Amino acid sequence: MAITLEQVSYAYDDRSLWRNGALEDINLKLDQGVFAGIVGATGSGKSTLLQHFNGILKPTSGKVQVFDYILQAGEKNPPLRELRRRVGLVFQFPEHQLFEDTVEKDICFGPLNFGMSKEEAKERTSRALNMLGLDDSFLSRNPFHLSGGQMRKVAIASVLAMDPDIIVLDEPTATLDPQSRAELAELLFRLQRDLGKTVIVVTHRMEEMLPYADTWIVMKDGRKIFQGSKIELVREANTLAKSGLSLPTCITEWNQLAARFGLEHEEPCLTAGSAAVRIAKLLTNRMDKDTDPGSNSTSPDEGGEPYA
Amino acid sequence: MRNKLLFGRCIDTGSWVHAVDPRAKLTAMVLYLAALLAVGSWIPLAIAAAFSLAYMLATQIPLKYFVKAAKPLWVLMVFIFVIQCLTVDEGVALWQIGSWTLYSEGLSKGLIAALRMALLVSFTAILTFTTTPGLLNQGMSGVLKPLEKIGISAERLTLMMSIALRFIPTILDETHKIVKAQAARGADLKELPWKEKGKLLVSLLVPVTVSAFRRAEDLVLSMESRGYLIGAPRSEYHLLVWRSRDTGFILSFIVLVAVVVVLRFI
Repeated sequence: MAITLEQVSYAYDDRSLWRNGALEDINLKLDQGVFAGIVGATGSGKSTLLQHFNGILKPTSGKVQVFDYILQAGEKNPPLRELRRRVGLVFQFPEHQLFEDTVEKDICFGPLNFGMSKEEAKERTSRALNMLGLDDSFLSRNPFHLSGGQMRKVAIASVLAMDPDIIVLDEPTATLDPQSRAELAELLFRLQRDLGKTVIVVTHRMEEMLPYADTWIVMKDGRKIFQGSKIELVREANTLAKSGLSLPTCITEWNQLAARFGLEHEEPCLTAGSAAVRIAKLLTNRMDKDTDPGSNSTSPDEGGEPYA
Repeated sequence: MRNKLLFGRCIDTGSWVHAVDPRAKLTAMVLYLAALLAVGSWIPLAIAAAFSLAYMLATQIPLKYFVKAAKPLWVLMVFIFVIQCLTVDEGVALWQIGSWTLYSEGLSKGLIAALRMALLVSFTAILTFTTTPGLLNQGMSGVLKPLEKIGISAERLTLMMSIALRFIPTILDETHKIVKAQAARGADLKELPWKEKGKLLVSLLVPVTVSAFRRAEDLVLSMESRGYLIGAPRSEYHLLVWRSRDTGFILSFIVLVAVVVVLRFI
């Protein structure tokens, strides 16, 4: 188990007039090597939750365990350095954290802080940058002269260069162009599939991460209201929608299709391509059936029977 | 950081002090400052303290918030106290180390000066605790109105002040965010040796400054695109109405000043 949260609550400005509860009684288990998506409305506690994974925030009650590190309310924290290296946290708008005069120095900042040698840090820097699709010519450039999207990539690279085991990202694709979004989602998937990293992503665009994420967590008003696989998510979509989760079209469309044709027990087809293939198959089956006089006993409009 | 900085936060308890005209509150604070400056001995200090306590209680805000408001300045208070102890050489000698002697007057003056400072800071917190920034601003522009006769634009001054005040919490939040982001990259203020902290400061100051400039630019653009002009006729959201209570509020401070000044010269 990579991350375990037991009855974790967190309140900003605890014990003051401005006390502001952000998390309520969260129980959570995430295995090593999963790709988890976290969704929920603004202010539902997603970002607060993420900051517990590497000890930036400490629970006001309950217990957080990440690898062997235990952060418990009311107890002194263990040294967090190594935990912070193993859990790379990319904040919202990470481009705002850049400060050095070259991209290379900025990305080296993390690795050097964690005690890597200069050579190792530089090598990792170049590797992390390449992973994000930026070549070595960027190393000597000034990060403040890059475009917004490039700055974002540099900032993400600065966390990847620390070689974390768990990568946690808070809305990494917000304000990126569609192509960069797709590339980033793809990159995260490769990190998880090929390098065995645990990836946790907060997203406002579920459809972006749907093809990759195998675990989903839905937050509402500081509480976890759902955790499960993609199939379970699709199956419970209607209940979740009632509690205010906005669903991507691919899920609502699939659920309509599934309800109409009785496909609830199938693996959902959530991309335009796979849905088209599935619908085409439905149509061919139907045409076969229509020409077959034997099956005219049921009205074709009902179409409720499962297809082979 | 956020929970330590109380300055500029309004705590709404709905007491009558909250409803006092902001112009009256601003004037009263100036009078209070004058009274404290005139305090030179223990009796007027006790009177001023009792007066302050009465108003603090009237705000219905827990007293610990006033104590908290004065806390950030404790170094200054200790400094004032020590300076008085070192320099005043009147009264009875109490204690001697080498060539330096602590005199009773020095001790007493030092304590009075430090307590005066504490009173000033915690009492003037009433102003920000009981007044929303918008009202405070309007009060300020009302108080500064007379300056327009000598060619100083009150609107310009209050605009500068309101923008500065408005951005204190924003920039603090921003700083807080950057601190966390750099901590996630292994630069944690708590865990680094002192030598490294200097470098950490750069990693905080640069992003915060950059973001402050970015915000300033955004603000300029958004104000210009809405056609903002200094000196254009503008209506106000709250209309300030002067009531007899406001006059009474100011009068109580005038009495305080009078009492303290009279006590000083008899």
